[in-house]
Amino acid sequence: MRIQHIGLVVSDLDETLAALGLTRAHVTESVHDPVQDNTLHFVHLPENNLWLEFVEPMSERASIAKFAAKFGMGLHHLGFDSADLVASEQLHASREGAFTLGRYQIEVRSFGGRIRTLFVAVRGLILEYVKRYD
Amino acid sequence: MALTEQEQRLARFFVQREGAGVVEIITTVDFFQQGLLDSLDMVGLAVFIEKEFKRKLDLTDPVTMKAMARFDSLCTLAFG
Repeated sequence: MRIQHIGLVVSDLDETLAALGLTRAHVTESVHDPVQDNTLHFVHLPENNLWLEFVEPMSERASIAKFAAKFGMGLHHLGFDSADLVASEQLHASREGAFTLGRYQIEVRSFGGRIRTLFVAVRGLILEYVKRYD
Repeated sequence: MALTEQEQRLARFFVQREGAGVVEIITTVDFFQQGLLDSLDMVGLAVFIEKEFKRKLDLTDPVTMKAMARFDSLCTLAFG
């Protein structure tokens, strides 16, 4: 199972980029998610063949607003490629302490275009499975 | 208002996080508005309920999410 991206919550994108030695020039794409009211900023790390997804809340009602207010910035989730989201969900369905949090569809060019995602929490750890539209 | 034995078991989740004083307000506040719960805490609460009451909450269900905001409806989810 390949880690495709790491999701970091940010309350101040520039501050987080600077902390990682990055600038706005490294951001390949920013996408607003109207359902969760977050803006997603994508940075590719070619050395690791890995994306960083910076999740920035756009309002107090944003899904990660309280997380951002509490921690400023921090690790939010690990993103994995998935060939089959149903199978990925079933992998956790019967496990104690595992909960499906949501399923979303969004266009992210950095991830290949239109994608479906599945969020699962395994105790305190949030996992996101990403599948490109067929 | 005195809590039943089951309510006390559920209240322990909040007492462990906020201290014993939270029991004074637990039956009257909205947990989200009061800052007692956020999206990650909800996962922790669902894990707690599954362990304590053997019930698995559906966190994708908006009705469940709404019910988690208040103690009385949370009790119904956990053991009602």
